[in-house]
Amino acid sequence: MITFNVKDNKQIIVPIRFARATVGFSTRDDPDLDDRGFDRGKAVYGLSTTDVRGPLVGLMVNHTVNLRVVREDIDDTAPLYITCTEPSVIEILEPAGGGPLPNTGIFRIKGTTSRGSAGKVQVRLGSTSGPVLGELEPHVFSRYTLPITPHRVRIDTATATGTRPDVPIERILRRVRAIWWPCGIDIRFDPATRPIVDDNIRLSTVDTVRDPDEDNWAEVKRVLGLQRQRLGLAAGTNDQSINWYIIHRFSDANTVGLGIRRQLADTLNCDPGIFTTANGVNNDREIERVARTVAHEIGHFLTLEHVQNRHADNPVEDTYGRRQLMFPISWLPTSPTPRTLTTTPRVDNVGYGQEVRGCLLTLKNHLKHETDKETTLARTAVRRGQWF
Amino acid sequence: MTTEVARLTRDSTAHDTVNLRTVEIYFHKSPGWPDGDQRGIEGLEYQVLSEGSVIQSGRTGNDGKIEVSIRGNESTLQLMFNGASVAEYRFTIRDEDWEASTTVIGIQRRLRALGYHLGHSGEGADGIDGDLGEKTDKAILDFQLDYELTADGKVGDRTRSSLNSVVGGTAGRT
Repeated sequence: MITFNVKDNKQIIVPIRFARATVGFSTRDDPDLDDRGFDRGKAVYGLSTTDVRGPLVGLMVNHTVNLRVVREDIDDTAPLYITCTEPSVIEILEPAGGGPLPNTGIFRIKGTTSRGSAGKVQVRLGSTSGPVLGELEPHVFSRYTLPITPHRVRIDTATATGTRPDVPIERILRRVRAIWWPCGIDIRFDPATRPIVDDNIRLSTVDTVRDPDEDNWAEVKRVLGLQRQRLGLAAGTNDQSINWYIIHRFSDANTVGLGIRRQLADTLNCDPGIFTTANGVNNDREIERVARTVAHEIGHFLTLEHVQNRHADNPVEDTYGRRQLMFPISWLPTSPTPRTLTTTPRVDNVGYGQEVRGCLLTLKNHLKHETDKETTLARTAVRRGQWF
Repeated sequence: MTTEVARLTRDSTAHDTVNLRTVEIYFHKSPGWPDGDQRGIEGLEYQVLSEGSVIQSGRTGNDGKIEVSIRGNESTLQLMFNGASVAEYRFTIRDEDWEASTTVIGIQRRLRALGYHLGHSGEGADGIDGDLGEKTDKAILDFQLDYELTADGKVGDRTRSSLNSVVGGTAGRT
């Protein structure tokens, strides 16, 4: 039984909400939801809209995902059912017949058609024709495939030989693929067609690339050119792949990744690509951390900006900013700060484990949040060929 | 709202009066009072029990509204399906004023009145516990986004004023 202590006030009761089906590491079957606020935000070009005041979720066409209903203000025993308004687009796979929902609240759906309007997923009381308690807005995306080519870069000097970074590339890239999957973007690593490349280069410091600020991008640009040189391609052409350069470190230890999109590469007169620093990565937590950095740099590669860029508010310090993949990790505090009503919230655990940023790529487009609608922006960059 | 109602009991020879208070309960698909769109849950069958007997029954309209009568200090609202109760809500009357909106607990009480989820910790199992934790943090950010405020999670003057204004329509308290 739910209790309310009321005075002469009106009381609003919202029985349920939706949530990610699991917590912890990213998986393709358990997408994050854009549940920032109940307002849908401004219309986003390319996304159909409904009148849902609830979360939005992205689905890769023909892929089954788990989602969860949380009973916030309704008894655990109340029989809940799942329906959708566009059964030709969204298939309810579990619970069979739409319900009743199991105690876990988890249900499975599949987007069967990438269509502009996927309608609403609804939670109903009592039966599949009962009153609608809450709604979710799914978007089913067609698949865009982006090949990725990993490079383990050994950095030598005139007098010393470097070492090649030791990184479990396939495991990291499985996580990267999971993070981008709900956007309908398939970051594909295929060792048969694009095997891992072992590069060697001679720079000024062993195992180190100078930070762009220190040498006006000179060493970064040299590394970015390795793939084109290896393939013997002319300047200005490329292999239509995301070239991911794994190095031990930058000269500024605070730099853990770089994403150079086509537009920036043209400005710098170099090749596009991404960097991450990593070595000796051998446990799940580290793999996830590197995977999120790779996924974050792919975000830059696909034209996305940090959450605070061109932003009227201050998301770099708030919890929702921290839930996003495009949160700049250098701002991440190593421990939560005591919270008061007038100080910045920093919930330590944003759903993927403590002391990490989240994996959310936004679908909503909130007022003032000029870097929102990330899924649409990234897909537009792919469609327009802005990524290579 | 409190109304005096005449009552004739079995063993008495004249009417006496009881206080019958009513509170407006709204079942919504999402929190808050968005302009022109209350997101009411339509078609909920319900009955209200007080002091052991059913005193009301009905079905919600498209605003999701139920005017729950409270006899004494407590009533139970049951949501019904096929003639059986499938969910229950207990409403108790609070006589004290709300805490000031400069306090965590005062903010929680206002967010809770608007339907924002705070969990079920605290003495009343309603999430109003004075702890500025993860759920309250999310509720504050959600409120700020829903009302197009600076979404920084801080409860400054504008957020407080807006919250009081929105709740004021429901409670008349700041």
